[in-house]
Amino acid sequence: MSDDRATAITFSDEQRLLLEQSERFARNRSGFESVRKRIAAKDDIDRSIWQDIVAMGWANLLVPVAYGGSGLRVDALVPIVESAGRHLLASPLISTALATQLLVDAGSRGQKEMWLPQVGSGSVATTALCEPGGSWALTEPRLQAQCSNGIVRLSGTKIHVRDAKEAQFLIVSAMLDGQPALVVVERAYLRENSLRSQIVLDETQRCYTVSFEEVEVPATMVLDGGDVVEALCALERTGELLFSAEMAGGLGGALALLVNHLTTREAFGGPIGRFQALKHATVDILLDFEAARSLVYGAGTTIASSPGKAASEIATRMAKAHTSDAFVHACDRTIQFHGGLGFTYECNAQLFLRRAMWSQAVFGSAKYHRQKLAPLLLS
Amino acid sequence: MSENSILPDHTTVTAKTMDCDEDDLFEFRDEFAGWLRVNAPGKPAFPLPETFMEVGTDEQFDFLSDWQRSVYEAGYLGVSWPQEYGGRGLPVEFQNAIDLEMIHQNVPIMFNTIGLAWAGPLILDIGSERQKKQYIRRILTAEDVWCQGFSEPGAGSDLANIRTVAVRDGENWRINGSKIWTTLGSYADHMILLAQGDSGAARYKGLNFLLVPMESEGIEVRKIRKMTGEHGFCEVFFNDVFVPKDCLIGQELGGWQVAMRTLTYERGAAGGQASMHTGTRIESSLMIEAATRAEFDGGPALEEPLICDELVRLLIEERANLLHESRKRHSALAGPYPTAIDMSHKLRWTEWNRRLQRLAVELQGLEGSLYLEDPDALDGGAWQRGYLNSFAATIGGGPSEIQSNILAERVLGLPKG
Ligand SMILES: Cc1cc2nc3c(=O)[nH]c(=O)nc-3n(C[C@H](O)[C@H](O)[C@H](O)COP(=O)(O)OP(=O)(O)OC[C@H]3O[C@@H](n4cnc5c(N)ncnc54)[C@H](O)[C@@H]3O)c2cc1C
Repeated sequence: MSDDRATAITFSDEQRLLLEQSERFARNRSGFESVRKRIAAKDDIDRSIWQDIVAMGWANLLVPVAYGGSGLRVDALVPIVESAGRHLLASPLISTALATQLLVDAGSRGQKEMWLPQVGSGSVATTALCEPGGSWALTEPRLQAQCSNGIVRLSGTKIHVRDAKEAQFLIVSAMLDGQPALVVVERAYLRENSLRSQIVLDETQRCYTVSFEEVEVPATMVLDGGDVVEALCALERTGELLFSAEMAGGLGGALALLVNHLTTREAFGGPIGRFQALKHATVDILLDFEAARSLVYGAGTTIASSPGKAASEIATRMAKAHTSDAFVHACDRTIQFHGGLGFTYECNAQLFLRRAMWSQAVFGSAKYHRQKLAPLLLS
Repeated sequence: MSENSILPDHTTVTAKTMDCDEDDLFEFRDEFAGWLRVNAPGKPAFPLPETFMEVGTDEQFDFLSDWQRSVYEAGYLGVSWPQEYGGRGLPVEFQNAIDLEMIHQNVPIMFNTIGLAWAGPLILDIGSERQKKQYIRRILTAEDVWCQGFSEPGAGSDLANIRTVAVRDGENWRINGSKIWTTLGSYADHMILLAQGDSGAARYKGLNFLLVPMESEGIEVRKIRKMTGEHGFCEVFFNDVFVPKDCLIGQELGGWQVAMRTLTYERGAAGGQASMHTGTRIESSLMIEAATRAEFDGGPALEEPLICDELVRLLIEERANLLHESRKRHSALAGPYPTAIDMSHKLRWTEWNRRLQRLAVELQGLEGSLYLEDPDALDGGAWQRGYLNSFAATIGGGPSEIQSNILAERVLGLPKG
C-alpha cells in the first residue's frame, strides 16, 4: 500500500472552478423545496435545470474536442457530481456522461460524428446495460442481437435504465454472434409502450425498464470502433466513480442536516448535540465523510492518469465500497437522531436515506465490491 | 474556561512550509534511502520496541540511542529545525521525506519522541534563547532524553485536575507531588512538567509549565509493568524538589496554554516535529504477508471470506488515511470542515491500528492463542503483543473518546456536554 501514486490526489484549477461553480449552482437551484417539486412532477425531469447544465458546458465535458466538446477526462465531472449529490440535485448528467464515454471508447469515427455533437447541443442520452437478475458485471449481457441483411434485431429487456424517457438515444449492450456488442438505439426505433417507469426508492430518480423485443435498427448502429469488453469495464469504473462522488456529496448533505438538528433541537434543558451518544456517532460520520472525499478524489486522479487496469479498479471499487456503506449509515443515524420527526415523510432526512439506498444498489454495493477487491488486494 | 477553545490555531503553526523544489526533494530522499540501506542497523538479538512508549530494557535504550545519534550525525534528523540550534534549516518537506523513507524501509524508530516531536517544537516556538541553545541540539543527538509529566493518578483526561504543585521559593521552584504513566521516565534527563502554581486560581488558570532536570534531588522513579508483561512507563515522585527559576516555559500561571500547545504536536494536529517516525507503523502489507502464512480452521486464512472482507475494509480505511495527506494540500478540497483531517489524525490511525492488530490475531485461528516466545507462535507472537500494545496509542495522548469530543465540539461545532 505504499504505492505513492495510488495515494496522491491532483486537483487542477479547472476542477476547482467547476467545484465552486457547481456548488453554487446546486445550492441555488436545488433547495429542499425544489427537490420536493421535482418529486411531485413524477415522470418528468426539470428541463430548466438540464438546459442550464447544458449551457454551462457540463454535458459536453467528456466529448472530445474534435467533436465539439471540451475533451476533459472524467475526473472533471467528479466535483460537479459531488455538488449535485450534496443538494440532491438530480439530472440526466451522469446518464449522458456514461453514454458519451461508451461512444468515445467503442464508436467509430463516423458514429462519433453522428452522435457526440448531439450530446453537446443538449440531447439526453443513456445506457441500457442492466438486466433482470441484477448482475453488476456488465460484460456478459444476455439480451440477444441478430444481424441479417444489414439489420440488427434485438430481443430482451433491460432494467434500471436511467432517464430513458428523455433520452434521444440509448446505448444497449447485447450478445451478437456470441460476442458482447453495443448498439445505439435512437428513440424513434423503440416500439410503443416499451418503457415502464420503475417505482424506485429515491423519488428524485427517473428510471425505466425498457423492452427491446423486436426492435430493429440498421447494422451501422452497432458500435465498431473499439473493444467492447474494455469499454464496458471502463464504464464500470466510471460508474463506480461518479456514483461514489454523488454519494460523498450526499453524505456531506446529510451530515450538515444532522449537525443542524443536533445544535437546534433541545431536550433536558439544552441542545441534544451535547449528549455524547449522539456526538460520537456524528464524529464517526464526519470521519466517514472525509474518507469518502479522499477516496473519491483519489480514484478520480487514478482513473484520469490511466495507470494499469488493476490500479483503477482498486481505486474505484474502494470508493464505491466505502461510500455505499457510509452514506447509508449516515442517513440511518440522521433519521434516528431526528426522533419522531425523522420518521415522517416531511422530514428531509428521508430524502437522503432514499437517495443513499438507491445509490448503494447502483454499480455494486459495498459487500460486492469488497468481495471483488479481495483477490486484487490479498494475493 | 473551555478546555478546547484555547488550542492554538493549527493553521498558523503548520504554515512554516516553504517553497521547495520537487527535484531537490526527490534527490534528497534518494540520497537518504541510499544512506539507510548501508547504515540502518540489522535486527538485534532482542526484540525492538515498536513505539517510543515501549522502551523497557537497557539494551533497547542503548541500541536506539546509538541509532538516533548516527542518523543525526549523518545529517538526517531535525533537518527542518533552525541551523543555529543544530538543525539544517530545510523546508519541512525534507523532514517528511525522511520520515516516509524510514517507514518505507522499516528501520528502527527515533525513540526520543517527547523531545523530538513535542518538547523540541515547543521550545523552538516559545522557549527562551537560553532554552533553545541548551536543549535543542542535545535532543537531536539523544544526549538528552525527555519525558512528559502531565498525568497523575487522579487526573488524566481531566488534566486540569492535577494536584502536583510547583511554587516559587526564592530563586527556585519547589515541586511536590507525583506523576504517573510517564513514558521513558526511568531513562529521561528532562521532563516537561505541568503543575499547580500557588495562585489559588482554579484549574486551568493556575498552572505552571516547567522544564525539569530529572537528576534533581528529591525525584524518585519507579517502573510500572504493562499488560504485555514487559516494563514500560513509570511513576515519578517529587519530594521537595528545587529547580531554578528559568526552568519555566511560557508565562507564569500560563501553563495550561503551553500544555494544550504541546498536545497539538503530540496528536499530530500541528507541525514542527523533528521526526514523526515514532512508532513502526504496521503497514498492512506486512500484515497481509503474515496472513498468507496463517492457518484458520485448518485452511489458509486468506481463503476465509469473512476474514478477507474485514481485511479489505481495513485496507480501504488505510487508503483513505493515506489519501488524506495528499488531499489536505489542496485547499480547494478542504470542504466544509477544513480542520477535520489534521485534528482526527491520531484518532483515525490509532483506532485503525488497533483493529488491524486484533484481526491479525484472530486470523491465526487456534494459534492466535499463543504468546511471545512460544516456538509455534506466528512471528514469535508479535501480533499478539502488537494488539496489546496498540492500546498505548488509543489511550495515551488523550483517549479516543476525548478525541471524539474534541472533533465534535471544535470541528462540527456541537455544544459542550
Ligand atoms: C502507554 C501510555 C503512555 C503514556 N505516557 C504518558 C506520559 O508520558 N506522560 C503523561 O503525562 N501521561 C502519559 N500517559 C497517560 C495518558 O495521557 C492518560 O492515560 C490519558 O490521558 C487518560 O487518562 P486516564 O488514564 O486518567 O484515564 P481516564 O481519564 O480516567 O479515562 C478513563 C476512560 O474514560 C473516558 N473518559 C474520560 N473522560 C471522558 C469524557 N469527558 N468523555 C468521554 N469519555 C471520557 C476515557 O476516554 C477512558 O476511556 C500514558 C498512557 C499510556 C497508556
